Amino acid sequence: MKIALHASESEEHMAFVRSLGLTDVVGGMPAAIDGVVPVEAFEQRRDQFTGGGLDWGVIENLTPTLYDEIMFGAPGRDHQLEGVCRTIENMGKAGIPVLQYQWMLLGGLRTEYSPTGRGGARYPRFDSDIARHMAAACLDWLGGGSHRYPHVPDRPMSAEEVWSNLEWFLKAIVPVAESAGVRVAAHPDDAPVAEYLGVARILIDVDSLQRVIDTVPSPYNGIGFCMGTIGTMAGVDVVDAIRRIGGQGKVFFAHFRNPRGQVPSFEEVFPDEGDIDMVDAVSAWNDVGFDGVIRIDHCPGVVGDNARADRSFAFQVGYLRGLVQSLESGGKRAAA
Amino acid sequence: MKLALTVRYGYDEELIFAQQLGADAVVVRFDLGDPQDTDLAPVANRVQVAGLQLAGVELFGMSEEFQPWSDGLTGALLAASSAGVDTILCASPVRQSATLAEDLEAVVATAMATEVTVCLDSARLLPEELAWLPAGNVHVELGIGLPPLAAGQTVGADAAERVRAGGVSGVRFEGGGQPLGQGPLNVPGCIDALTAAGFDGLVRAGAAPLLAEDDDWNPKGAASDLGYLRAVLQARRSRAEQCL
Repeated sequence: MKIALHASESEEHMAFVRSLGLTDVVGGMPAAIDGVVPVEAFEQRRDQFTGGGLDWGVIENLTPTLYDEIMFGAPGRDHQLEGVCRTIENMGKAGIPVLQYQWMLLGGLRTEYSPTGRGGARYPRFDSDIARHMAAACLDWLGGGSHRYPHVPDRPMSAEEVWSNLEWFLKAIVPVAESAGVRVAAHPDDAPVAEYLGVARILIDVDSLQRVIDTVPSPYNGIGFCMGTIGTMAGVDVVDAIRRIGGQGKVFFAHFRNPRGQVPSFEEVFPDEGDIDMVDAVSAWNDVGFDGVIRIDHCPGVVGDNARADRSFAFQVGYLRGLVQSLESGGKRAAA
Repeated sequence: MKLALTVRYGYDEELIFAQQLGADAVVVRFDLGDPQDTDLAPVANRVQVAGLQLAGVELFGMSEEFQPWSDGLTGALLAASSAGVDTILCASPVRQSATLAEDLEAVVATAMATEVTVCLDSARLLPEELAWLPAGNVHVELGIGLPPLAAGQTVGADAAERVRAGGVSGVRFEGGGQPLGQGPLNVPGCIDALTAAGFDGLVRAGAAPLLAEDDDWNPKGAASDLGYLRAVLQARRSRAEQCL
């Protein structure tokens, strides 16, 4: 596996990534023009990373405003779909092989960022009971509320309707992705609750991830395996999930994160103290032959850290590297 | 094994940092300054009230002349005893002769009398000095990654041999300016060898690498090294449990 961080193309950030000994980065989607990200925008960012000694192998995520009307099944979806297809083609031309997208109509959900962790570290938390009292206030924790698309829905949407929109999307884009040489990877719903504000959230268990894979069987249709999100799915064992999804060669990209608890409430803790047995998990990644990019995901807030949370990310990079090297050195563990 | 982070005395942010990143204990670096005024009680108190374990006090700013060095260390041992500090770590002065046994007589006697353990840095000892230790409570901290335990095929076996000889209270992994795991040092292999030799003491990273745009105490590098060592120890423990 290739350990990576999400990075901007600023020299300062790239220098930090390099100083950790990393060579792979995950980057965001460049700005679109009239709903399409031009090939030149991909090439420019790619060249900046390459010039900084880094390999940009994954884009996360497909910008919600490029396909929000598709997710909601709104009248403008055909126009957006055309833009997404052209964007994927342009990614392929620029040689960027993996695109992660999510199907969270209301974005990511968190309810707290509280200094209740180890030594007072700040842990992102989600609690369904608290969320009920906050209503829209916990929406789009990941996006910072900056997207223009309407998170607060005009009407309820059933799981069937949300699935229908996703299947329509996949059937249209996967053939394009195949031609472009771009693998598309679905990120599960974070938090993995079945509904919020009347809108269904559908990628909330391992069977639903399998359904994404089976909707359009293709080497270019797979999963962005977020260990943290999958670890918070009710009753899910992450190591089993790695073996099930990864064993099919359907993990195109992974997030490294360790939560404590599962829905209806959980918190994101340091990787050495969460519920996932990370030794078993890394062993499972090895067993399924995962050789893609695994990105250090969100992390707890550490004293004195900068806005990028470099200290916290450095700890997690060191931790994952230590696990990988230990399993190489000591031989892999027996399969669970 | 107990995983420690090295912090500077008086910098409370570093104590919080150690606790947040899950260090089992801290080694506090303390400027020896004027030996007559050595007071380690505040060191112990700050660590205790911060909710951490004090793995030891590492002295720096010591003389490179043997006698004043020895006097300073002796004073620190008395201060440690008064403060309830059970371990002092330090580097011996660079010396031209191999008369450590004679030279350390007073230190050994004081260490025994105060029941405080002294850990001398293996990287500053001559081979014959290293072979002479332990002497009473004067032990060794193995500086793995530095001569005479520089990275190489045999470093794990060499370190394990030292452990079997006795008197190794701690090991310190030196990445040589790079994050642990990036250089030639096979840390997991060393941990396996040390464990097989019966080592169960203090483990810490040496000088933290300077990562881009870091603060003066290199917290990013320290975080990377601490995370790395935590993972190696967890993996080792996990494999051991599976063998039971």
